[in-house]
Amino acid sequence: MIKKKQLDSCLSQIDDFEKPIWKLEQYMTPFDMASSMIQHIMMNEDISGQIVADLGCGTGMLSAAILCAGAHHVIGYEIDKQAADIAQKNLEEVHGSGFDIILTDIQYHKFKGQVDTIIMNPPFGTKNENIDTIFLKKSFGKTIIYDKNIVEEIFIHYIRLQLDNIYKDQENQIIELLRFQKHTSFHYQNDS
Amino acid sequence: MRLLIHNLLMCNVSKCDQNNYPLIIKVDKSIIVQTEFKQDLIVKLIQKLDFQALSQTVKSLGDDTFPEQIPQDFIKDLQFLQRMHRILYETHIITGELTCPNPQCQRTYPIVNGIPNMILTEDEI
Repeated sequence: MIKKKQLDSCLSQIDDFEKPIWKLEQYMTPFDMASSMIQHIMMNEDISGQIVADLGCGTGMLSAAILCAGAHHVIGYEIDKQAADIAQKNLEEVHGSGFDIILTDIQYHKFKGQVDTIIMNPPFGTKNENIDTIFLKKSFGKTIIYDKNIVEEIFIHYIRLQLDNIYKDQENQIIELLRFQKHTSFHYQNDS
Repeated sequence: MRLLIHNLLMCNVSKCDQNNYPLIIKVDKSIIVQTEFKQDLIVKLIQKLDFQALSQTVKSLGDDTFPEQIPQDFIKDLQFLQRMHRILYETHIITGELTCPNPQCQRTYPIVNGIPNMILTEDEI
């Protein structure tokens, strides 16, 4: 299991957003927070060998963290092209390989297939109401089909963070760390 | 974009709900980047994939010998597993296009700098 110092030094190399877009609530997850989140995950399960999805990956902080901690492959979903390009550069620098990025709007993206774990630090909905619920819904799936033959746990680790000074609204605080556990795996598809 | 990712993508257009998977790949530039082969992880991954979609896609990219179904003893078939590793993890499509196979849709998604762009316009959501 990776040590905190190694994880921190790996993450301190991650570049920030160049010009944060206010409407998308862009801010980089502080590296010590990403580090804490990933350590929390590691205490609950073995991420080595896992395929992980990072919803709203931004410049790749959480993706980098979970990769450095031993995940096999990370798929970052991001709506902003500039952030996605920075994430790609960051992840290449920090880990070399083991990741892919998809440019998409999670609200309208049709998800298919399975991953082992979903991680996210999504926008909260101060600019786009209910966007955080949308991120969660997409993680669980609007239509959930339970496949009785496969029994796996899918953990969703979610940190809520209030906006920081950039937006002159609120103070920077961790409100809660929510963890959801499901006991069957699912194939999730968009309602159609 | 790796073929592993392609296996997860379908046409995002809201009204396009039939014959929208898998997306047809057109490759302008691709590279092979060698990564460590991990047998147990490839075995796990193969069981999660939509293998039919993968087979269809690999054949469309010119490899006629790719099997239609997962071979029965695939867990011990090292040659097959290494081939899967090469196809799923080591092949990166840097530039190209993904096209919806639905004749009523045929929406094209560009792949630029290895990243597929699945973002829709106002009238497609």
